[in-house]
Amino acid sequence: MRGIPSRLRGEGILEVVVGAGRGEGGSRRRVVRVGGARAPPPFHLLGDNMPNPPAVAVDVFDLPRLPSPVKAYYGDVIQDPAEWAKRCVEECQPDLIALHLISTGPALGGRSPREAAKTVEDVLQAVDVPIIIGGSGNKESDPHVLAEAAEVADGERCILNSASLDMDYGRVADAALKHGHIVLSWTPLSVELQRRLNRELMLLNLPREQIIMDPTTAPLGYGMEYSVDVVERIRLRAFQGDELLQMPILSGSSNAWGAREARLPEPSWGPLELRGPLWEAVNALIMVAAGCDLLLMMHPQAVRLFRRMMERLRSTPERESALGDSLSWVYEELRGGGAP
Amino acid sequence: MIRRVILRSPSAEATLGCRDSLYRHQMRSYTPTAMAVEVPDHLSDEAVAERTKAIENLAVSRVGQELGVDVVAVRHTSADAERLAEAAAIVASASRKPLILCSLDVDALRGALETLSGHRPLIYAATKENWVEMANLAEKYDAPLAVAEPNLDLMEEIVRRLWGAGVDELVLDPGCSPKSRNWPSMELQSLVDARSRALSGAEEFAYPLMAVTAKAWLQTWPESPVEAAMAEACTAAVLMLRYADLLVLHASQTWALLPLLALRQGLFADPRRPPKVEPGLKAVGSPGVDAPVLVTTNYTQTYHLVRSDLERAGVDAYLLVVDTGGLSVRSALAGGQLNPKTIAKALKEAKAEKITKSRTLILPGHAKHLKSEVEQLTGWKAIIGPKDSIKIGQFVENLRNS
Repeated sequence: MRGIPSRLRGEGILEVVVGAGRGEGGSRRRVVRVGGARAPPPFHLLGDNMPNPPAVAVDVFDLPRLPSPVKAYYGDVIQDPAEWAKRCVEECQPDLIALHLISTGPALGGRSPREAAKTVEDVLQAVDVPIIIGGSGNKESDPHVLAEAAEVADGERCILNSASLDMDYGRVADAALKHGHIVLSWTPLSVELQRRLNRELMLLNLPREQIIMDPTTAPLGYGMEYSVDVVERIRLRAFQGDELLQMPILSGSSNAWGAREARLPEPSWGPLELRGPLWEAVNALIMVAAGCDLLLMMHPQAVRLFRRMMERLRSTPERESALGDSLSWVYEELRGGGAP
Repeated sequence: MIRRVILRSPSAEATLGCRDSLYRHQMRSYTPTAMAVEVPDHLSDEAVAERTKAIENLAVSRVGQELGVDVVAVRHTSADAERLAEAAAIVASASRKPLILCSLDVDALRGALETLSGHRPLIYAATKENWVEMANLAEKYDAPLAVAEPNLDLMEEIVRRLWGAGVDELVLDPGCSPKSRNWPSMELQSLVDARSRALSGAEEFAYPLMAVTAKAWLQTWPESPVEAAMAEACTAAVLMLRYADLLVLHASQTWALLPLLALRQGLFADPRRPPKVEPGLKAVGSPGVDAPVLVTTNYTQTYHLVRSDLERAGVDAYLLVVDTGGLSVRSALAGGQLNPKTIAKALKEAKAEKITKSRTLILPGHAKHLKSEVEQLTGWKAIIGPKDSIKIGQFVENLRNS
């Protein structure tokens, strides 16, 4: 038999608590438990192997940047990240808000870490869910931006997005340790690089419970299968007992909007307002089916569809009703939409 | 032993495979999940033909491949013994694709099998009640047989009995009741269980697995047909990843099938074969001596996208395909494989200066920051193209007019 690891080996995936309430040093009204899977893929979705539903974080940017199909929902608030975050909470009921401080990138104005940290304070004021704090992706400025943000968010147990091998990740880890945050350990589609960065972070005394991995999600149709492979390989190693790979995994499923099928008005592909959210929801579902625990998402309809599907997929089978007439579909009319 | 099942029409065939690992990165052979769309036989002749033609004509061109539906499933919704054969004949004349005949009525199936000369359809389905008669049909018409039974222990028993009757070209449908509150979680669990049993050595399960996602349309929670189509597409995607080798769908709109076609194209590409094309200077259309030279990378996906965008826009040009080890423009910029030196090297190795008189390179929009260094190293003028090649036609047009 090839490749079916014992479901009992290893301790399972770590559970990372994101967000801190009053009395724990923070001000969040809700905290989120991420991870905790008790079996490797594909068994993690079955039975009670996944104690926590996959958590959804919705993207907010500190500059008005959004694919146009998503913009419709936030058009009037995208000048103001705090208002935007509030709107996200109303529209999507996300588990977290993923703030991206892209204005700190030299190409987009190079706002100073101090100014950017002010946005973090505003967003923490505006919403009561835990937040993910992201930089611009610039390797020089991000460590400084995240360190400054970590300080103003002291004790809130945010996720710092992110540390990578080609930057001063030590500064990010130090900030997380000093101010009680979690580090997103981001690597480009490689089990070995992921393991190396996790080890580096742990050597800096960052506990495993303060690390979440992001081995990169390529968009559906544009290499997502490589992300599936890497996530599955990480999970298999975790259940074989590799302690450097037992942290929860994040998937940037809003990357789905990078696919032209999700955002280009090509009439032969059908209505864009349906294509985009479906593309994102499928992207997210496949990454969860591969083993991911936390998703970055964007479109309210995609979030809703994803959540409804997860509810169905995680429901514990009632064998009696399921074993009923499995063949009635051969004869029935398929109308769809609440047919009795 | 892993069995394959082949469905045939006079002009096409569909192969149903059986994955040899639970994980894509460990698989040794890659047979893409076949996609069938159903046609109910209670519709009028015209409506049957119309729906079949819509399924037949659904085609999307992606990364140098034509993608579409593989199989048409005729459902016996009329419950009229003669209608199934009539409808099957209409479907077979409106489509070139192999068929699935879905009925529990042995006479209706026999009639349809008689009508379909030159076809090798899948008979759906043998059950614990009818397996004897179904086995006879499968044997007489040399057609593969689907076995439908949600209880896997019973399924195992039925398969053994079919073996005893001399029938061993099977497709297994362990799907549950479409009215179940647990659909599709039960569906997922059954597929995972069945495939795990096969990979643990149970020969009874070493067959292609199928899943009927059309059942989404019998669930009560999607609030509209659009939601039902979305629920079906999402379910089909997850079940495609998790071991369905054949999907029977109801949704037939391009927007709903597009993510499945793209997912399938990626999932069943052999990861041991790197997704890259030969670097070099490639002609698109019939470029003249002063045709523009556009820089891109040798990731298969990127190359085909840019190429098809140029072709669609009717642009005659040269594509300078830089060897980035098969990385896309953005990945190669981030990883450093697309840089002024690799661009200059590609230009030199392709002997571009002998092929075109043009000394203008169009860089991908994301490579804006490379401009001045590229100009220094190559001696060519570099201009910044669009970030997305879909805009390349307009860009080249504007360039010409300016």
